[in-house]
Amino acid sequence: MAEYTGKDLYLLWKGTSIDAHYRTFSPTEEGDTVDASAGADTHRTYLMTLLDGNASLTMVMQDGTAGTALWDAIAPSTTAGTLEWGPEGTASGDPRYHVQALLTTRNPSYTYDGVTEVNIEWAYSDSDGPTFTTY
Amino acid sequence: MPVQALETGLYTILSTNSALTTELGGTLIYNKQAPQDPGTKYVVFNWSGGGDENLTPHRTRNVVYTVQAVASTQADAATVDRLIDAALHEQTLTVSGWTNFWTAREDDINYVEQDAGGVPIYHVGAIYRIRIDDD
Repeated sequence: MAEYTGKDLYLLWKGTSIDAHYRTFSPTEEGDTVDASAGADTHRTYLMTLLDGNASLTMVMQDGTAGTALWDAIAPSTTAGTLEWGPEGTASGDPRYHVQALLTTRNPSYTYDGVTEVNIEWAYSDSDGPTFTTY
Repeated sequence: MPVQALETGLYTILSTNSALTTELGGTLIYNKQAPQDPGTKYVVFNWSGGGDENLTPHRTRNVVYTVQAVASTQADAATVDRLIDAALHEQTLTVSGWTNFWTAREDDINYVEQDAGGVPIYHVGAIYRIRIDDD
């Protein structure tokens, strides 16, 4: 057991590897709640309802045909696809996560004196939520 | 060797600039240190900071170089600096194995020193930020 950095992240969207130029990938799992407090309660209590999740990615864009291919691969679409990530790479035994998701946001940022970045967001659309296995 | 490739690219863009070499009277452009008595005006460049960014799995380098004109008069130093600026600011260096996507002038340099005989030597130039991307 030891700390590790994100340098070995493996990231696959609809079968296309999109990890060559990433800076930050952040998958989030969360749950909706309802307020269950009532009567003489002095503190709020909650019940969990539906689980939800989303993921965001920031990457550096590329110019030329490589950039166009990457741009096309991260287009928002009404069709869900598989988002897969391996935080430690894809060596045998490394953790592997995958989930059905919708790519909902593609937001480039053009900065005069900086590299062009694009932010991408997914909304999980998977009745089972993210699945954990190993490579 | 990214350092060698970058410095070759920097030297080449300066030494092939005819306006600059005509003003200097030759390719009086030196890396780090000029030889003894190179002439009344010449150019010296040297690494001043930076290195690998390690922001994405794709390799990028962000370095700054001091590029300055050295001359026996302030006017000559300023003229050569103007030509260096034209050759470098927002221009593209050819760096073998890399793509130069950002070159820009930042902080100015402007001072005078005296040699052992009390003769003034004028320095005018600037810090240039150079960013390259591994092909």
